[in-house]
Amino acid sequence: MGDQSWDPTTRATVQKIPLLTVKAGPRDKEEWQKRLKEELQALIKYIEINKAGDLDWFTIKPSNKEGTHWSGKCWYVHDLIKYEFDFQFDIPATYPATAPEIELPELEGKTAKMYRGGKICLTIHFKPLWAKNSPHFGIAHALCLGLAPWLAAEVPFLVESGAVKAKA
Amino acid sequence: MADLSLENLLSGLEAAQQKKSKTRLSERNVVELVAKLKALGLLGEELLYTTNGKEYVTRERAVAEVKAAVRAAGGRIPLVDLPSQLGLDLVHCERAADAVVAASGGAITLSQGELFSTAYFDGLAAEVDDSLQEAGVVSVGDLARRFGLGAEMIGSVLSERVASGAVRGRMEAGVVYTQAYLARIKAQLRGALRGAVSPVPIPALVKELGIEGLASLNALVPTLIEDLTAEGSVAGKLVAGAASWVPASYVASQQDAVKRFFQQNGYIGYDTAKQYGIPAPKQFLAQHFPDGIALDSAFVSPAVVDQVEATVEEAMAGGGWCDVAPHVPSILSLGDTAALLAKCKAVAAASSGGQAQVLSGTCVVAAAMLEGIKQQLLEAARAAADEAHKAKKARGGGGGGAAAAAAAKAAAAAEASSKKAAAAADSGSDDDWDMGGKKGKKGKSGGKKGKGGGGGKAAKGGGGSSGGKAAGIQAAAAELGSSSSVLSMDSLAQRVIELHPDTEGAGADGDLPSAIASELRPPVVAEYERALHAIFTAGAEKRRRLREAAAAALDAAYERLQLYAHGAELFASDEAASATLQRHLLRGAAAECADALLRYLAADDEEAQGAGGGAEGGAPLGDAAGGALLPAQRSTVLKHLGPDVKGAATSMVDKLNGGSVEAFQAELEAAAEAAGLRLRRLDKKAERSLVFAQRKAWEAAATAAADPSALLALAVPLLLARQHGRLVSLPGRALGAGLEALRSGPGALPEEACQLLSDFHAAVVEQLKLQSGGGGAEEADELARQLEELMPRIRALAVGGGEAAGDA
Repeated sequence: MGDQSWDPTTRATVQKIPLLTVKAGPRDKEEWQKRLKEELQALIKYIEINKAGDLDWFTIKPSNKEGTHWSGKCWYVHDLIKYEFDFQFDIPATYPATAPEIELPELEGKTAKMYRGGKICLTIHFKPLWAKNSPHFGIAHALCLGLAPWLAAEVPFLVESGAVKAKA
Repeated sequence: MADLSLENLLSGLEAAQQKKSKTRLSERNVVELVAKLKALGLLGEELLYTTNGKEYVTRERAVAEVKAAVRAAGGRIPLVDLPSQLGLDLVHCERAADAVVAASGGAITLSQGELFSTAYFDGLAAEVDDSLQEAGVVSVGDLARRFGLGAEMIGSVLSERVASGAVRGRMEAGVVYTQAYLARIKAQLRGALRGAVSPVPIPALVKELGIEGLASLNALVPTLIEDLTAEGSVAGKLVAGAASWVPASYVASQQDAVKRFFQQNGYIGYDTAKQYGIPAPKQFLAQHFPDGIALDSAFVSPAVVDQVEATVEEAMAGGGWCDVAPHVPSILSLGDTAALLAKCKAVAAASSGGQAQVLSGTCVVAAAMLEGIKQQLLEAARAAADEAHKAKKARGGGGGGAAAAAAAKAAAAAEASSKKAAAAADSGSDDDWDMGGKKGKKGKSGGKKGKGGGGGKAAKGGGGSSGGKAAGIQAAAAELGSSSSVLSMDSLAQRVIELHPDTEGAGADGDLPSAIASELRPPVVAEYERALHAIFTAGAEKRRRLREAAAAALDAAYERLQLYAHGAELFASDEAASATLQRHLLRGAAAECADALLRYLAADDEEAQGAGGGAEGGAPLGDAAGGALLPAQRSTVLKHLGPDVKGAATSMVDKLNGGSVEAFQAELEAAAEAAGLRLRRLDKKAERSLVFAQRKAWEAAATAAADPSALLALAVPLLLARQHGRLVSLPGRALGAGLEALRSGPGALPEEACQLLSDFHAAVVEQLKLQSGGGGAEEADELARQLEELMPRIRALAVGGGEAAGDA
């Protein structure tokens, strides 16, 4: 984590998120449960950190009881206007070696920094970092290092280009 | 953690997300937010900023904090302390303080930048009461200094507390004191006043009491003294605006002293009375001695007046004078002495009856004495007028316009007394003289108008003589002014002293003689004036005649001079003849002119006339038509002339001995102008008529002439006059040149006539030579016969003109 690709706040925040210990994907029945617990704990911690720092920027919950599909809302305040988007992702089978691919379906086709299906393009630094820290990084880390920077980078651009309008 | 179920964790996640996010707005955002809220009107205008800019405060909060601050500070807090305590701007603090004061209903007051609560004043009053009971007196000023409050404010606070009894004492004029203290001061005063035998200044008394520092207590002292007087504890009174205490005993003794002095001396000066301590001596004395006389500087008893009256009566009876100054108290001023004199019945009666006069303020002079002195002075004035007239003549100041100028100068330079004298001269001169003056003016103006006119001569003469008369008067007036030796105040006073040596140094300033002199001066001056006029009038008529005759002679001589000068121009080409002619003219006509002018100038001057007349062999000056003057006579006249004509006249006489008629004419005109005369130039017409008249005269003379030389001397000019229309005065030596002139020029005589004339001339010359040389009788007879033959022809030529000559 010695690279300079994230802003200092993000890096400081990431360091506060507890690292995960269980290396298990959705295919591992028992271990996944443990992993899921750790994921949840990390998320709770992250959210608490955010709330304490008035940096709250998303809500999230697992959409199925296995905990392999997650959805929630994320928002970004630009020019005192709050832009809110739905996001979702699946836990890949190779998780935690592979990072989850976060989708913002609303914004599909509105920006170049996005793959088909509304998956966001993460920075080139994300994957090596994730690989390096696997299996210690979890969903919370992915949100913190993936979605948050992406929103910060793309929303102002989207707003200025007129692709996104504030919800009245 | 591991024991937590998945559900728990899920709900934990839910809960974590439900939890309200702690708002962490940036300061910038908050400021904006607040601004937004204010803009929306949700916060109203109530929001204040703290001085560090970190907080917003509402007004209510500020008011509450101010209240708390007052309480915390013990009931008194300066407004300037509030900003630092509350972290609010002073303006807001002040506003909040105002709100607090308004809301407190009197419990909290704002005064001189400080907030006070009632409790604070109560505490203060208690403290003051303590110190008052201890010291007996406290001044509000001291308290104000001690508590750092305005004297006025603490005064009002204390007066409230004194009234309510919180402070036990009396408050008066900025001092709070206890009854006991007042009683003590009063007792001290009583002691001091009772002990006083002479006036005591209140400030000194206050100093004795040891309360001089307390201005307000000082102010109480007069009241206390009055109290004491009223209750009869002390006898006396406060005087001079309660500035000093005068004990009754002192007043009594003082008045006694004044009365004693007055009774002993018969007078008392107000100064003396004042020294005795009587503030208004005049009233005091008038009250105590109703029959006394109040003067400006002193109060005098009637006895003094009686004394003065006796002295005056004595002097009056003796026909002398007296100075009352030695008989009145020495302290009386001059004015007072005069006033006292006015009060004397004898003096008043005498001066109103004309029996005496009060002079020099304090001297009473009997009318008899004054009359005596006056007679003496009049006598002296007459003598002085005589002298003055003689002196004037000696100065030669009486003649014509020259004297007028001199008189004007003298008048301007004369001192004040001379002005008075001149005025007296004007008013004193009788009608004749006024008329004379007017005539003179008229004459002068007439003379000016007469320029070129026929009547110029007469007008000139009149103007000259009466102008001279007027000038004479002026000169006399000036004489009066300058004759300080006789008529000045000083000399008159000196005379008075000589007549009455005892008057010297008498009077208020030792000026009785001058007072008498000034009293008598107007009549004396008038007398002088009158005498002078009388003398002047006597000589005036004679002088006028002389002047007129001289002026006429001057005019006639000047005409002749001009005619001959014009004629002489005929010989301008012949230098020798011209010079001869010029000299001849200067000796003849020019000398006549000069003499006439000198006579005119000398007309007023008897002495000069006398001098002139005294010279042997000369014609008397007094005779205007008389013959030529001798050089000695001329110089005598010149010597006596006034300075303004002397120069011109002298150079004129000098030119007589020169060789140029023109130069003499210029000088003559200058001299005449200086003398106030105007010489008339001949115009062509007048010249022709004069030439004609002269020709006729000469013709008559030629007809009658028996002597050949005389006939020749007449014939040549006569012929010249006929030929050229100009008169020529030819001396015998110039006759040859005259013949030459006849022979040449326009209208020349025929050759035979000229030959005849030159033959006759040669024969006459020959005869004269023979007569002087004493030649042979035969030759003389021969010549006489020859001349006898020629004479009728010449006579015919001269009388009959050129045509007759041809016949002869």
